[in-house]
Amino acid sequence: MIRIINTLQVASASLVAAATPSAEGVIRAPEIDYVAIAPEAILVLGALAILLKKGFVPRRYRMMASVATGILAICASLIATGILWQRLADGAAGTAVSGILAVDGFAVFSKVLFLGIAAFAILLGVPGLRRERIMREEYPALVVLAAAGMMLMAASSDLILTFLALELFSLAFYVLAAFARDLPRPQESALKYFLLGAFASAFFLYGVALAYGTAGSTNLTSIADFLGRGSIPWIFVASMALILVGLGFKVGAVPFHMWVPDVYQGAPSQVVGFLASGAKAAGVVALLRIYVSAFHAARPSWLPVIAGLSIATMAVGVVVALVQSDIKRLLGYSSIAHAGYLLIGVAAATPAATSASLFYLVSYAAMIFGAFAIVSVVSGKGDGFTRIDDFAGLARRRPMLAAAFTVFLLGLAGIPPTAGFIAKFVLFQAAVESGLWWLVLCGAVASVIAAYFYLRVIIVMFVREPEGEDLDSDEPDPITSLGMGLAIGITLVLGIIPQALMSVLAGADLVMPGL
Amino acid sequence: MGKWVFLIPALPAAGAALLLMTRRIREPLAGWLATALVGGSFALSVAAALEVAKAHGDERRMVVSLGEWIAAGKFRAGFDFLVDPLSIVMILVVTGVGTLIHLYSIGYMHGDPRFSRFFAYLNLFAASMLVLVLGNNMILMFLGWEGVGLCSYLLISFWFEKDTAAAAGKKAFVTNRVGDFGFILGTLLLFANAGTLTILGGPGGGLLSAAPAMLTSGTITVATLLLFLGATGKSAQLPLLVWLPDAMEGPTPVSALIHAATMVTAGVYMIARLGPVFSAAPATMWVIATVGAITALVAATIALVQTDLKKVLAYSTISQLGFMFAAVGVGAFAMGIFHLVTHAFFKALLFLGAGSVMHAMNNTVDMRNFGALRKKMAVTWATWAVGWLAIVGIPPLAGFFSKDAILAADFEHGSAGKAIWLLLSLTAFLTSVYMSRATYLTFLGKARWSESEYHPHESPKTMTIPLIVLAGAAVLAGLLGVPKILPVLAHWLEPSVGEVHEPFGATQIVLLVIATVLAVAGIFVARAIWMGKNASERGDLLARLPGGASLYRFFENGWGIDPLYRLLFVKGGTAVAGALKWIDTKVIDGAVNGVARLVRGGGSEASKAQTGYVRNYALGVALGALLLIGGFVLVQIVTGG
Amino acid sequence: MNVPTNAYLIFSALLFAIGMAGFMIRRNVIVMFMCVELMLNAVNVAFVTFARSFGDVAGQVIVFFVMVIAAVEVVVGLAIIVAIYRRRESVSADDASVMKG
Repeated sequence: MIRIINTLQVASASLVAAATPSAEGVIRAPEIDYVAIAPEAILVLGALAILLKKGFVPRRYRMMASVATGILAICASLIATGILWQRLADGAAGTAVSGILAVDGFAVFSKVLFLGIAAFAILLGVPGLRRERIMREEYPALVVLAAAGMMLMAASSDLILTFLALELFSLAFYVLAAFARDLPRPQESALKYFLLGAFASAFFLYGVALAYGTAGSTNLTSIADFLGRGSIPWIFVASMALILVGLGFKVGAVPFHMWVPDVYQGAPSQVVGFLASGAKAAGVVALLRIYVSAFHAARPSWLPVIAGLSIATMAVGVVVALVQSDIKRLLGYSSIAHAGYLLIGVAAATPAATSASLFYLVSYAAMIFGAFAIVSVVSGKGDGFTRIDDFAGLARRRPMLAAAFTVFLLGLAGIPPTAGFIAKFVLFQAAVESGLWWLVLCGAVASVIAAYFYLRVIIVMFVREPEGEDLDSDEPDPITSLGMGLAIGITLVLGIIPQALMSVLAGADLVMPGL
Repeated sequence: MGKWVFLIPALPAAGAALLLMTRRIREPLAGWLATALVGGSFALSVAAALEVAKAHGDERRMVVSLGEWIAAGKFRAGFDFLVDPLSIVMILVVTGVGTLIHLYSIGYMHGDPRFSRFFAYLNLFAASMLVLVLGNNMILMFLGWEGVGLCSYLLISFWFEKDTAAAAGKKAFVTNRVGDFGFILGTLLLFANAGTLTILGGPGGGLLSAAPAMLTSGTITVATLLLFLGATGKSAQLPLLVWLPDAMEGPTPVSALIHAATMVTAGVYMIARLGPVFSAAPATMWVIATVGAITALVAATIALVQTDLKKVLAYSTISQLGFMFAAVGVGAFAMGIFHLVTHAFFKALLFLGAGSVMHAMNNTVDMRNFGALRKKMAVTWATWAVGWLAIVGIPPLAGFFSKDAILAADFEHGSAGKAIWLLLSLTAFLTSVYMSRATYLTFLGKARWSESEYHPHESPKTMTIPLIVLAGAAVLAGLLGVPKILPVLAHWLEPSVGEVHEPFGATQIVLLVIATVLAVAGIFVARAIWMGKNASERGDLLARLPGGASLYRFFENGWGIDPLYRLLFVKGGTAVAGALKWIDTKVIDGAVNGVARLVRGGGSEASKAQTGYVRNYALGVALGALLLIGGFVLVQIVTGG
Repeated sequence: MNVPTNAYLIFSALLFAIGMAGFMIRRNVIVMFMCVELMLNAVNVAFVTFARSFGDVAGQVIVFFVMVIAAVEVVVGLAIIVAIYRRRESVSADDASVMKG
């Protein structure tokens, strides 16, 4: 099945290109800017190599070879992105491949973000899955394919490409959620995620069709031109709503959030970190690309709806998290709340808010990855111990793990000196700047409530005696420790010297067309 | 001013990092290292003070920059320190008292299994507090503000084996979050309107000049009220005072350093720091003064009936902080800071004295089990006596001058100011009564402990030396502000807080006399009750009055504030969360089920309706889609698109 | 026979609604999944309708993309469903409701 995804991926690029009109007599071959598509293309080739090498590599080296190929693909893609960045610095922003692929600071920065997320997924996922004895050779392939999909989400300048990218990474995640396929909970979560994901995608696609029907094109630039010309037809209003359903589902916005806690609880902890950071970030960058940039002229129409979505999401996320007893569900609801904060950044719709959202995504990715890495170590075989009570006395059993978890929880709660605070602050500040102080007020109230349930976990770790048998979670292996250390480093460094990233964001010239 | 100023917080920060990362450094080296680092900060602070003293007028306010810190969109915040007379006073107090308390802790924490961890937290606290004080923008200030809060929480629940300690830490944290929420909103509001968060310098000259010039009076009032909410959280004023008495669960040096001398005064400092901004909002100023005066009185009445020695001091701290707010609330920033300084000395002294007593009495804190300890602990008794007379306000000790300056400043501010003066004078009398009560019950009178159970003894040198130094400071600090003759501090602070008016004439002398008479009267009243013939250990003076018993209970329950909050927030919060969970699982799911039944067309199928979750979630998505379409359509209709 | 464009669009919307309703009321995972296919094909109808009314080929090309995606979804979906069936011998979505709250 993965092979089919690959073929599809390669086929899609050429098909879309072929759709451009031809001159008389000759068929004009589509002009493909290979540098522009290189980052994603390399990843897809890497995934293909991993899946095809079965026949060539002796059995005992296969696992190592596939992980190595995955890492290699990510590094090569990073280099390709670097070349693209360099080209941007020379002032060559625009679109490529018949206008369906945006090449701008926003796209390139997001690509780096997603490559980083993929690198974390391999760094933390491989040793974790091996510990669980559910590591399979396909894991690196799925990770890089998901990364390619998410990168295309950020760069896509055509709603059909966005749909393809959305499906590409979602399909990879469905399979990842089912990774421990013999256990009931992962199965259940994979099934729920898959069924509902397919359902929500259909809404998204219907929205695309309606946009095509009104604007005459699925190209975001054309749609922006169309909206810029004046009044918004009723059908287009429905289209905006339906597209928002699909993307709202991916980021976990209320009322499309119900899958989040179940999937976070059921899927193996090793892949939930990837899912939580990647899928959410992909949804948010698409929202920024589509609503903030392409639909900018229609902002008066969508602003109240997205703001309402944001408030509902924050409220449900933090309040229901208060009464959770399972750590993975708690993090699930907390991630819903974070989706609400991120929607504030979408609603603000300014360059400052866009750069703040990206900063938020970077710090959120580091914190949620770290948190789930710790959950995966502490919860033991088959995610057996994920009740919050299972964390009782962790400070005494594994002081370093408890300290690390504290850093991540404080970060998620948005308390200095962690990146979580700076991220929230710059996001709120950008929203206040664009006059959304009432939304920020809601966000501030939500984050005050949220501090409570994060603190509850910290207190359980430091104060409560472990009950029952002293469960013997292993010390994390060196690679996992390295991954956690990196996550802590990012969380603290961005919290203390945020300028390290902000200057990059400022230099990336994130302004998208329409902003 | 050179960049070396950054070493002032960096030294203790390095100490904290070192002690947290390695476990090799153990007792007593960890303690000495931490003390030395804070001592180094103190030396640097003195150097900074000398440099500021050399400058003249406005040049005394120096901004030292380490470079850009956050730049996002229009927003700029540098990693800048503001070194001016006001911050100099604060860093001298923080590092000075801090060094002494570090030293004291070496003796006090002797034998604790987490000895080095304690000093790591203490160092981290000092670093955060210094960042709070020196930061030249609201974000840097907030960084320190949250940092001290975090350390306070860590140190309150330092002995987390005790359930009460853990609960107290949590309470402190949550209460402070409410305040922080105000702080951050106020900050955002200031930024949204003034376009800068730099306190001094930068575009528009910084908040101090930009905010009063650019904000409408409504906005500035709201912004300052929100900031004041932050101050009430950190400084334990009404309505957020509940956490401080519980915070006494922490080790006593922590109570002395964080919950008496430094962190809890952050609110007062913040208001003084942003003096011109607050002054532009007269309504807020009156709120501050009123809240301060009422808190002072309420806390004093509660202190009157406490039996736990540390709780007496805790409520006394809240009460004295109320004095400071009553001062800054009428624009008497210099007087507020003056009292902050003297209070830091005598209250730290009293706390350390209480710690010394506890140390000698197997960690007992109930005053009913004390008595006649002066014979066993000469140094502790002598230094305590200094602290006691200082807080009561006996001339020429420190508290006399600073408290009187506040009373005089309030008296001048019209009839409302006179009302505040009246409240504060009553509080001053009560202060004298409860502090004398604590003194009589602990050090004087008859021993109410048995020689077989307790072996009171004087504390080691590391503990008594800080006591002696602080006692000296509590005697001499008053000289910083002798009205008319020697207004050192007020004059020193002028570049920071503006010109200080301190009229001195017949009125002021009368006020002085009244205050002194009240103080002395308080001592005698306390003596009559707790040293007299019918002296009971609780001295149920109130209980003997008609209706006094219920009043006693009322005070003892802290005016019912704690139970009320428990009812409102803990019970109420749990109920709301439970209700929302119920709504989420029952009502929403139920509604979803109901609609599912409807879709299914009722009948036999409906009777078999099971809760199929995937379907329900799908229905959620579908209903959500309809809701979004409806929302968009509604917006479209409303905006007339 | 002239059929107005709107008729096709209404047909598409109805088909979408039927698929949506079917997804919500059926319990068999495979049937639920077929309902999603129905929704996707409803969208295809809409795409072709618009493409025809614009005289634009792009909308028709998109249909192929959607069909390929649908096929891929079937592959992944069936893999998950088979894995579950092997374990519990049931394809009822209602059995997958251990996690809630």
